[in-house]
Amino acid sequence: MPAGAGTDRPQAPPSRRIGRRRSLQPRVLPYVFVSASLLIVVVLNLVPLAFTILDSVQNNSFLQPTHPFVGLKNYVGVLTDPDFQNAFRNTMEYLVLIVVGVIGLGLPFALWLQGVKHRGLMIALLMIPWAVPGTVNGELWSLIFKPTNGLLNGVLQMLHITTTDVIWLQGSTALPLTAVTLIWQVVPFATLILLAGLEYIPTELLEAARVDGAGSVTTFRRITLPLLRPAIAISIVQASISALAIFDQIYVLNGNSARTISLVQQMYLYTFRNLDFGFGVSAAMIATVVSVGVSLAVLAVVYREVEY
Amino acid sequence: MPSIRTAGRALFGLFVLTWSLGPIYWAVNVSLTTPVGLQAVPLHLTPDPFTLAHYTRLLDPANSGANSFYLALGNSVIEAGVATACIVFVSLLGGYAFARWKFVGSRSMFLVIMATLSIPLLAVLIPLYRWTAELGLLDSYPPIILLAIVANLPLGLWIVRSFVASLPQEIEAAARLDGANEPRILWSIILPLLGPAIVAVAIITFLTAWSAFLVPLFFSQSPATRPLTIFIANLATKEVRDLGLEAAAACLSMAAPIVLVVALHRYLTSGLLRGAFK
Repeated sequence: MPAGAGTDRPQAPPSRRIGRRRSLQPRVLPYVFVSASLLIVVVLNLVPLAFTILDSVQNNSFLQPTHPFVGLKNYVGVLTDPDFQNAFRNTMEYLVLIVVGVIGLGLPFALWLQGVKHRGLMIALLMIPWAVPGTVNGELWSLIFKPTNGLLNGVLQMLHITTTDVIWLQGSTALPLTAVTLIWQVVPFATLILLAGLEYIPTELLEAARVDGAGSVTTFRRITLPLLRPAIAISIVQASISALAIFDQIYVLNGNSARTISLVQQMYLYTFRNLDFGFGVSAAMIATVVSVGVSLAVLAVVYREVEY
Repeated sequence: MPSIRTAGRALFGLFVLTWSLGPIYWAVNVSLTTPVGLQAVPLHLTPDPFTLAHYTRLLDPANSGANSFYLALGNSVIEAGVATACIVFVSLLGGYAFARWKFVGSRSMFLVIMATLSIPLLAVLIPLYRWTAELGLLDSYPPIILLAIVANLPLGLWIVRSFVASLPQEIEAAARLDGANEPRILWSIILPLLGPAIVAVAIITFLTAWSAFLVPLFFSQSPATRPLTIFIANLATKEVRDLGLEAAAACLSMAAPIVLVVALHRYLTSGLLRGAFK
């Protein structure tokens, strides 16, 4: 499936060097080669992360000259802030809707791709939403959900399902429809992962089940689905990470409306509207812990090594 | 009942393509329809009456002031382009070293770099923003480019490393016996074989950097460094909306990513899958 990039599995380790050849390995050059990578990761990732943690336990408003240590005050403040709680609830709703939507569409898409004609072309077309930038994605769906002259209302009225212009991005439909935009963006990657997972299932197994008289539904439930667990786990983790970072689409579709605001957006508001870095970094740390925690939980629950 | 199954598959295929391409088609349609046509009831599903006026308005040199589409497009090209070139170079060197050489600390260094994949951008954004402000570098390209690099570096390293590891060592052994030095081996023997890996890293980085929004929102203070993503967001959140203009800008902003994905999807999918199945 990953055509064009060699046929070896990525896992293949370099064969161990032996005896005489080892002396030919340069001593300094390896460090020179990896220095840029290391420098970038340390200076732009690890050090700032440490400062984020440090900032979160300081009283860190832009407007004050000193930043005294305040312990967990920022965390308590953030966690008891109704705005944060609202954003947190919304983000959890996004998480559930997006994971369900991504797997619910990605799996049938992958199964469909398995037997389709012109598969290369179909994969290329299916990947397009993944490449559309988040704000453009929001703009595309905004043209669809717009109350007047929007596609959704237009089509519904053409089919005589509704007669008036529904304001989709208000009330109870706002959040699920915003989730749809991210589902649209994440489904391609999940489909790709699930398709690769399907390809790894030995056809002999499916053949054997068929010979034993298992119907296609039974074969799918008893063989395909269990063997697909690792791929499903990876898709869920990918979808969760995207869902917990949702921001671009919301910003374009609905601004800072309380009904759709997400954690990342709330962090942005703490930082730039309230100019309160302490709250901003504390919200960021909480979101980070949730993101890593969800990933690990999904992997622990769903991921199991599969033996063929 | 093979015919029912075939029909079902075809119908589902129609749904898959409508879902994937429908929103894009609709934006193209809006961008090519006159304002009067856009208000038609019932809705026109094709550009009727057809017009290119939204594009000419968007691209009119007379509008090329501080908020012009050209400026945003140029910024996107510079920010995504430079980040991509840097990532390819850095991950080529690092990926090769991690794949071919065992040196003190190599394993832990690689693990540390990969572990940063799990640190979301927002966990590091605020300190970086403060330092950038203190250095007086807000509203300049370097911070935006550096953050695009750091976001994609682990995946780039991973792709190059796994690709180099899949090449047989004998390739370099012969050159080494002939007395070629290591940079030369990398440059003239390994590099030509790494085409697919380089394309994969480049396209993934470019597309991610082209989509960047949160980072420029933090670091760009004026149109001078604002990329297309912010241009689009500003258009879409205006009080009085100009649907045709918005749609035209959206179509032009996603044209490059779409062409790249369709043309290079093999490299893209192989790279993404290498990253996913670690």
